[in-house]
Amino acid sequence: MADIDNAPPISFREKSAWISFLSIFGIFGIYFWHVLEVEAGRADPHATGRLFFTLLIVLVVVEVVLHVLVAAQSPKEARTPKDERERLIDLKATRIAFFVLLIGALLSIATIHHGADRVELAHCVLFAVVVAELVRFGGQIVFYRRGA
Amino acid sequence: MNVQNRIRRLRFDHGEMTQQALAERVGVTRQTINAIELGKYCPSLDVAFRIAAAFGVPLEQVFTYEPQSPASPPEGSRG
Repeated sequence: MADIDNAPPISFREKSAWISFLSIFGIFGIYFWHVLEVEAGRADPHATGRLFFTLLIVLVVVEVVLHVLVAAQSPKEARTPKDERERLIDLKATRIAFFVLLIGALLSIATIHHGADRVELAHCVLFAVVVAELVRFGGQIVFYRRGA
Repeated sequence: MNVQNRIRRLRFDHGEMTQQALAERVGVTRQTINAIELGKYCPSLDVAFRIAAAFGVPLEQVFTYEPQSPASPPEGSRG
């Protein structure tokens, strides 16, 4: 019996999750590296806001361009709506990410009691959001690899 | 997983139908058919009936339920 189908190539959805995961990791990695440099007194704190919005635009452009390129490779698959397994994978990954965000939000609040100012609190909340997003896309990748 | 399936056998019996062809008939992705076939994902009743309809056979000819007794070997240990 032919068994040529048993090693499926990476699906469009999984590629999409990889793009989002790596884009967010790379772009926000740069941003938080800058924040740490500011905290250490080695970078200009006034450049933080401009860097944030610049990197946000870069993130959107990178995601759009890479998704267009991947969709061009398999246009039929990209147009197909998510099926029940893909929706389940989304839900499972989002559920895990929610708890990460919840813990991150609570820990961010806790930083106030350790003398954090508004900017530091905002960075803690943003860090929690970024980590939750990485967990969401990372979870999707893991579930796609496992089958469900 | 307690639900076993004969999708691979049925594809073979239907002129080596590809997973892609079956996926298009059922309305899911090829990766989902692959996951179902390998027992990694248990489909909904809706998709299960659509797979059976794609082969033109009753549901029980595609999927069977095999309850595992406590003494049975662990999953994946069978040849």
